Amino acid sequence: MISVLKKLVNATGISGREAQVRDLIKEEIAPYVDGVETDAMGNLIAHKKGNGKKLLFAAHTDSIGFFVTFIEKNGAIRVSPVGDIDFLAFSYSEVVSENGVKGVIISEKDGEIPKADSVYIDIGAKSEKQAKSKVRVGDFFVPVPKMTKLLSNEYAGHSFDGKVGCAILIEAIKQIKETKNDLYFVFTAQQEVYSRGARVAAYSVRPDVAVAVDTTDAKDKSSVSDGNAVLGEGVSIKIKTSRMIYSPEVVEKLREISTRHSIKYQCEVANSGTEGDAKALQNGAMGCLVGAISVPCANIHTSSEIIDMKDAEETLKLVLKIAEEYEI
Amino acid sequence: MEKTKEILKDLCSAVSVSGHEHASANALAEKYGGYFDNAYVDKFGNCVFVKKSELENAPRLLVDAHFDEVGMLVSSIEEDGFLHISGVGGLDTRIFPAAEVTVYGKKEIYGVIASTPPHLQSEKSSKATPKMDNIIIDTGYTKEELSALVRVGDPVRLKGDFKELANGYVLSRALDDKACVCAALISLMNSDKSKLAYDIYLTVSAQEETGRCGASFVATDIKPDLAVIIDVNFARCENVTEFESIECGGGAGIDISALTNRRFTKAIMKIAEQNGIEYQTICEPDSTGTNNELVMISGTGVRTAVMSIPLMAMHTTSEAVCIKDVESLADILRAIYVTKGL
Amino acid sequence: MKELLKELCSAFGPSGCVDSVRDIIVKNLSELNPTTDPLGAVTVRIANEGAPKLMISAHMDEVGLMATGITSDGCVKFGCVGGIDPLVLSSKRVVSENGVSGAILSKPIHLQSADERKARTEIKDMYIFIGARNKEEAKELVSVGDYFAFDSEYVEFGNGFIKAKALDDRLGCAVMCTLAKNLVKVKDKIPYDLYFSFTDREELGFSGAFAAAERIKPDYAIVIESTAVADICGVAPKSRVAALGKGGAISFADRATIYDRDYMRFVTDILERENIKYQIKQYVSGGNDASHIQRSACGAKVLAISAPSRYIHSPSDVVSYSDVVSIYDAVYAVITNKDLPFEQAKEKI
Repeated sequence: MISVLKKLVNATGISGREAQVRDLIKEEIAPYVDGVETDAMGNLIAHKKGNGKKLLFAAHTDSIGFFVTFIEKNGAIRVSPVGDIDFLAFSYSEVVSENGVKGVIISEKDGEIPKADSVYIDIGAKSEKQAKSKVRVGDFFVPVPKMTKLLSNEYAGHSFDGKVGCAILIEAIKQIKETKNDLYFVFTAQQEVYSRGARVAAYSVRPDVAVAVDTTDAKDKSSVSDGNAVLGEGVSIKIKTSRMIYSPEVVEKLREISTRHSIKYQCEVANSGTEGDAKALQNGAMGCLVGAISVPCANIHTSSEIIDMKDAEETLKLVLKIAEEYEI
Repeated sequence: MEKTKEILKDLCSAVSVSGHEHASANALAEKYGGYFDNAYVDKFGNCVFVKKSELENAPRLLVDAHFDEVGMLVSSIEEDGFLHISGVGGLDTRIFPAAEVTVYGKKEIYGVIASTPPHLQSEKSSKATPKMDNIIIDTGYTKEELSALVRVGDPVRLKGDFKELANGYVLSRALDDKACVCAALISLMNSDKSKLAYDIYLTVSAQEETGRCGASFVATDIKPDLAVIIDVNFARCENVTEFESIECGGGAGIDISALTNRRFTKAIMKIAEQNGIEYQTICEPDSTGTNNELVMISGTGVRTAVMSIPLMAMHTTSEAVCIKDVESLADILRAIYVTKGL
Repeated sequence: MKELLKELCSAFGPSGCVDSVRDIIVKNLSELNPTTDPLGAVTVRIANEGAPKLMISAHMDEVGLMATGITSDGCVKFGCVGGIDPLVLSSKRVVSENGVSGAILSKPIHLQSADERKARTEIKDMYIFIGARNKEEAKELVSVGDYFAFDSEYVEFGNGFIKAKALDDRLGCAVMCTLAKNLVKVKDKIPYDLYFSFTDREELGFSGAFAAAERIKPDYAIVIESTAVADICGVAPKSRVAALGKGGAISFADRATIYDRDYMRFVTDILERENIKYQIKQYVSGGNDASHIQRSACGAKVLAISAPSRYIHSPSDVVSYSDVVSIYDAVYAVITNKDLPFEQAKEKI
């Protein structure tokens, strides 16, 4: 799974521009599924036929990044954020455009918290003309891809959010032997901008049960920390986030399956946090049951997200057992 | 009046924290299903009662009142048998200090929400409203005992027992929106089918307090021609202006909004007038704050109207309504059911 | 088209109360069999069974006000229908759906304290004055729930500029009516099953476009809109968004939608070839019905083309008429282009 994740991390894509990531996933899974198609929103929908009701797994292919909105006379490049970006977390980071143009994000006002209209990307261009020869309005930039191994199975990198879920589903697709259900694996588009892809995918598939697979905010080692999950404590089964109650029936079955197979897990009941694709899947399917399982990830949406690969492995185990045993 | 109070008290006692309505919804379908052609609970937890007209091709009318109530879920079990909780729906945290709760674990467990003792209050904290993250529940058990009885995710409710006051007022937790569920039930349960102009689907919906999705899903399923959404609205009191509230005891509220169908709303007002039923109007230009909006845009669009019952102290343990208003709403609904051509 | 635009802008039509606007459109398109749906949307179809469906969409509603109460002094308290910046309301003229004239007033500055003067006046401190001295007189003219719209004349000024209320989105409606009438004459040249959809409540976020798209289930959609720009004195170039007179503004992304790049390129290629003026919005801002249509049913590829507009959502919306014409030309060219957009292939193994 580590090599698949590395490949995904090196593919660049932001919400609405996921083609590179999507093509990579399609290549990986095509020999193992009965059908795969891309819909109008850019969701990749893979089908592994089975008897029984429809069970859908979803992970998102997009990451946060920046759209180029304006090129200044002096060659500075103005941008607009895609997804929830804390510009402080990206100050002076190296970035790269979809066409491989390298740059750095600079904050204009020293000492003030940077916002979208007070940052620019410097690609070393000395004039508007020079900049425009490399970059156009509407192009995107992302932080330079990286993945670094730390101690005790921890990895630091960018764009784990989303891609870890994709890596898990890719591995699951390859490893599933038999299933009780008709399985759909959806690699969704535009999750970082309010889950716009998921709704549409669920509308066409109309699953009976949907399970979102993603990262979740984990506590880090500082004494004051957002996040509820704990790195190393296993896959996180979500019960509630600030606006979403996951179907209690699904939560109960996930707990049962995990206990039965000694899968290490933790439960999340949070005051804050977003609902990821789960709510959109539920809406698109006109009211299916929905659950979410997540890999704890510290420092989400910064240039150095941290995961414990063992948690990802437990999540993969759970996905496999759900596919094999979940009775709808 | 007595029968109405009895049904309302019964509804208020049912445990229906948003997202955890199934068990109570099933009990509701069983208890009242006999008065209807059909009663079922869908996978989402919406309870639907159906009573069909004897007319051929009668249009479908959906009447929605939500069953769920605001509440909490256990988020962690701490040392000395304390619990941390997470709020479900918009809670008024001012009511928490020293309030009593019930935790629905393997059995019902009594708890008290801790209030800050005077010597630990700072100038700043004593003036601020309590934050959800700081709420702790004292159960009196040890951590071991508690862990055997309670799990992360178990629902918790504040205690707010049903109590009758003078002049036909009642106090309880969860009158939002059970007062309307009561009105909807009593309006239809004893109706004579031969007089109905519509196939009526009474949806006692789930998860209104957490995203208003229950009604949206059930409306997409039923595909009604018309829908009336009933929910509570703010009652006039100190510091609440007359332009943003209705009077307790002044009859049901009929909402005027850019998000409802004007013709349908005006027709309902006319029906109330023709039948001598007292009502009030309240204007909410661009947001009703109810299931209305999502029902309106469900499927290929539904013509909707919104009616309400005046309620004091919304989302607290001492919400109050006037039974007269519950019955006035039921009367208007009954008159709508027999009026053709809406 | 200009006459129709003037007629449409002058019609009364805040969200939820668009009968007058609808009547004009239905009359204008009477020969094309317009139909109406439960939420009041009007649809006209130029049929081509089996061809990919293209939905052209604009909204009939404008931002407005609604009377929420009448004070004992005979003043009308109100709420907004749609997003209106309180700063544009002070002292503006309004008219009710029943033709009652009034003006939005608040405490005169002479009587304000120093602190009150610093803060902006909020809507709760404003009222509509209709010339009544007490509650009884007011109630004869206005009822709670009555709609009010800006009372603003259609004016042509400067170099081809137009100022009016409701240019957002009556200009879209005017373009669409004209397109429908002209395209039906060349229907054999159109490679799409074409739907023109005029919707309500776009300004409220619970737009009729969602239900309309659910019914039509388009493969493609083009939304014709207005977009707020700041190409005025004192604004830095990076914040101007787009410029009046440079053609319809096409977005690659706004706050509500990220547009499909291949579809955008398909459209801009046609415009380049046909030499039709257009510009790319140089900012990510705003949102429109494209968002609802993109995510309806099984999804659709959508595009938004908007007339750059100054002072949007005020009584003095300003556009350049040449941009309205450019948009007409652009959409006409896309619809009559014989090549279809690139189709995503479904692969089966």
